[in-house]
Amino acid sequence: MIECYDIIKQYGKDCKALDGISEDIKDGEFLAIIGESGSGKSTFLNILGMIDTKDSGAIMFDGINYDDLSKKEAAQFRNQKLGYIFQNFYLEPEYTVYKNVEIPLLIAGYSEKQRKVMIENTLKKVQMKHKINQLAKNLSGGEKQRVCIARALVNEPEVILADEPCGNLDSQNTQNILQILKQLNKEGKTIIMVTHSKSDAAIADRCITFKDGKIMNEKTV
Amino acid sequence: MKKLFNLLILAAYEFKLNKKLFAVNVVICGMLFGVMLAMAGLACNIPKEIQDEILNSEFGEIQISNIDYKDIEYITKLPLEIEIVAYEMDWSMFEESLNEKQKEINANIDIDTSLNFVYYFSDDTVEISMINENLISGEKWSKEDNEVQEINPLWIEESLAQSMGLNVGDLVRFSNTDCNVDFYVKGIYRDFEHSLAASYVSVKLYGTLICEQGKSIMIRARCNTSPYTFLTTIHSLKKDYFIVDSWGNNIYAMFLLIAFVGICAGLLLLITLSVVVDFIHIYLNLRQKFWAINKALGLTDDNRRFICSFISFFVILLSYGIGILLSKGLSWYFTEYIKTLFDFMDLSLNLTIGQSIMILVCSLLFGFVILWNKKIDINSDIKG
Amino acid sequence: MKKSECFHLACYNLKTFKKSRKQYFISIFMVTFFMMLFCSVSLIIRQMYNNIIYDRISTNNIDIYLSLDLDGKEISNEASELLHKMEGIENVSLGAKYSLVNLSETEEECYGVNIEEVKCLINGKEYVGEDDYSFDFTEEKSISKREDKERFSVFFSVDAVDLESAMFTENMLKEYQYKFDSNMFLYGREIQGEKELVISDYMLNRFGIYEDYDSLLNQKISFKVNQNMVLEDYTIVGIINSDYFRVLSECDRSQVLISGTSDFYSEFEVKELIQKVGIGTFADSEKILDSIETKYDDYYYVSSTIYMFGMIDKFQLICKRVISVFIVIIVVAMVIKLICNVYINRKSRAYYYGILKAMGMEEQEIIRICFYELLMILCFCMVLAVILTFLVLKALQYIIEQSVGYFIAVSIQELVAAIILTGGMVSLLMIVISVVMNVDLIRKSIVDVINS
Repeated sequence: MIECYDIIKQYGKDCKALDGISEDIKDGEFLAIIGESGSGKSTFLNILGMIDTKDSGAIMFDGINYDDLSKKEAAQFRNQKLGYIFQNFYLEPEYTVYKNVEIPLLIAGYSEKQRKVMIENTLKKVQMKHKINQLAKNLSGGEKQRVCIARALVNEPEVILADEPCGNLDSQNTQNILQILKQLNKEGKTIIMVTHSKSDAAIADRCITFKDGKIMNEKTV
Repeated sequence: MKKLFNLLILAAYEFKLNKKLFAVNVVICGMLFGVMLAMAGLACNIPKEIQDEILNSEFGEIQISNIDYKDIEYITKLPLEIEIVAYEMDWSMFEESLNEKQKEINANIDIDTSLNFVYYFSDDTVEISMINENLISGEKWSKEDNEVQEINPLWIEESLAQSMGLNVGDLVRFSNTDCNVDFYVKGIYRDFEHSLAASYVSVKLYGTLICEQGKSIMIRARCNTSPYTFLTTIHSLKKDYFIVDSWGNNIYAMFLLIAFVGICAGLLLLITLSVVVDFIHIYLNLRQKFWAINKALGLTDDNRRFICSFISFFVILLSYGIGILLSKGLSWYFTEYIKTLFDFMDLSLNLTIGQSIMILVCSLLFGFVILWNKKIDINSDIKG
Repeated sequence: MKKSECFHLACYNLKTFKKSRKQYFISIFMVTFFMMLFCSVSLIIRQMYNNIIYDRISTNNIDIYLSLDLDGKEISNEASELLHKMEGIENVSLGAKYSLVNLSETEEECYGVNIEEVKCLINGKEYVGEDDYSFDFTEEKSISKREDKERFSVFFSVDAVDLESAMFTENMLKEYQYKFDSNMFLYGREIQGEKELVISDYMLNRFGIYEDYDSLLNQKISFKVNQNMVLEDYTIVGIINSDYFRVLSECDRSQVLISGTSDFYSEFEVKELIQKVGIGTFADSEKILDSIETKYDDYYYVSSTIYMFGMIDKFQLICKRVISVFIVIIVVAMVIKLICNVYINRKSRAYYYGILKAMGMEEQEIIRICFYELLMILCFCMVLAVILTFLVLKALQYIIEQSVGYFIAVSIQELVAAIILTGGMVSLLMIVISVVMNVDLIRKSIVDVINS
């Protein structure tokens, strides 16, 4: 369970990206965050994913306060508990698919044999096993996103954070990705997805709307 | 014309956008150009100054054993000022061959009876000039007298000729256990200033007349040419003759200095050019996407080359300007320092305008060649 | 993440990113190579100058002849007084050749006799001198046995060392160390008191003593020339290595040295003391000589090579000055270049670091990966630079030898010194610059790093 209390994030003196966000996210929930560009939804996701810092407020993950974690613990937390799917994929273009997905496992300290098995299983799930040795820069957008999902999943995290996972994809690929995310949610993963598309948000259990750094309303689908 | 102007505007904008990168590289290249130009100035100007210093210095000798006419011919053609120093031979070594009357005369008269085996290669040397000027009978020495003859010409001093009863045209044979040499008296001279020897013969006979092993003719060489020519000449002489090398140390020491400065100047030119190339590559890599997008928008390769060339030329020119200023300062510093060691009154270590322009043109051309070869592929370069 | 995993990832990165990091690698390689070449050339040139100078540094002396009065006291010499006040003068060695006039029944004053006329007594045991005709210290070459004894025989002579001055000048010691690099005294010490004697091993060999030199120390020694006592009951305090007498200024010095004082000078009828005034460097000698040249011709002697080597020393000083000024500027330029390159490289790597951090890698581990990558690049650059430097030096050596016939010795010592100096400096610079710049980047928030 993730609990957020009064999260504030400010850029400069006048620009408040988040203005007192408080939200609870239950285990196994599929939450969609929608809003226009600049509403603060990606900022919120980044803060949840520990890849950005907040100015004030508190986040509790299963009773653990983010602020109480040391840098080392935070890194471990990011590796073990969270999986991040970026809009721009953020794969290393010169690495192969295998290598891109291997990074979290290397960090976690798995042996080579274990890594091989886990990577192959994960890529099978996202239907990318046949391109395991291909360089990331040679993949299409949809394939890149699937590899990104595999990388986020491979360590079997509890929570998956997806920042506009279908933002750069065509409709066919969008549907494929959303299906994968739905399937993962059915398997028990908590998914928090940021999107600007209401149709994409429709697959989520719950939807919250951001506007000007605040939560406007909440919808249960 | 308007298009050219617009391209220049684009170049100026690029310059403004990447001013930090350009500023850093101007500083680095400026420093390296400065040091390189100062080094080049040292390497070009020092040899001339030191050459004058060395011209006034004494040198050692080249030993040539068993000299013959071919040796003389070879040595006369060398770009060196040659002074032949041959050991004197005593008449007493040839006493056995003198007739009884001559021996009797010798015993009674106390004269300097040394036989000099010295011949100079040109008639403007002091001793030959004096002999020719003070000739009282016979013929003057000329270059043809160096050529091999069956009976060798001999010039003899007046008092010695009288004491030995010799006249022009008389034949004299000198012999000892090692050799026989025939002479005819070609000329008799008067030694007014008592600075000449009693007699002179061709230097080519030295090897024949010297009967003690290990003795050989000495030739003193003076450096009247560039140090490089001097060194290469000595090097070629060493292949055939024995050079007494201890005196050559100062030439080699000077050569080491010039070689060191020359090598460093060359190295620095390479470093500077490599830094220029590096900077161009860094800039092009940084702005790869930008140029790819512009190419997609219709900018031709030639336009791009024009803009990039203009930018790099500008940077090189700026750096060169800084380099010139720095090199002037360094040259002044070294000039003052060298003047404390050597008495060079008019020492200047600055390069000539021609030399400076040549280096600048090479740098600009080099930069241009690097830019010319850079290709842009829209698709891959946009994606990065 | 284990250290070995970090290392493997670093290796993988170098293999994978070789195209994009090519420029970075070339920059580091160029800096390393050029610095190494510059350093090597400087060290080689410096060594060559040292070889030329140190080969005859001992001749950088002014020999002043000090006159003595009938009582053996020194008559003051203006040149000597002037020199002592001058800058650039090193320590002074004072000595005399002892006359053997009254001791060898010769009519003329002589400073040496044929060694076969000499007997040596050590603790009552007599040793007779024997010539070997085998070695001429001044010519430094072997001469085969000849019939003409007088020209090549070993002479016995005695030199005194004034107790109030140094036994050897600094220049003599420098030349000896350069040529032989061994202990000057095989056993014992320098002369410090009265009636003390130092003798060379070569001289002892001439008297048939070839071993157990140390047992001779503190023994009493006397010399007789044709039954006349020349030196009586002197204490042997040192056995000097005869190689010392191959130092150029010492070739004609006696290999039997005794302590000298004014009493002894008068007893042995010494007419002149020779004060060897060592000048610090050849470059200073011209100035010093110019100031005394016109006034004091009769009182001193200098080696003819002093002017020539003065010039050589000045060339060396110019080289040193050039190196010292230029190395500062070049190092500054190279440091700025390295900083620039690391900065550019860091920008291109920011994205990669951001991904790793987002995946949960600790800052320490990322820094470790950077460090391993840098280390491998440095090692590779160093190896390449060493090979290329060696090849370039050999090529230069060949070209110079073929064109002007001068052989520039490229010794391993200089090369190793250049490698260590350059390698150490470049590596240290790179590590410090990289660590400082990358740590700063890595510590930023992930979003800033990815988007930078």
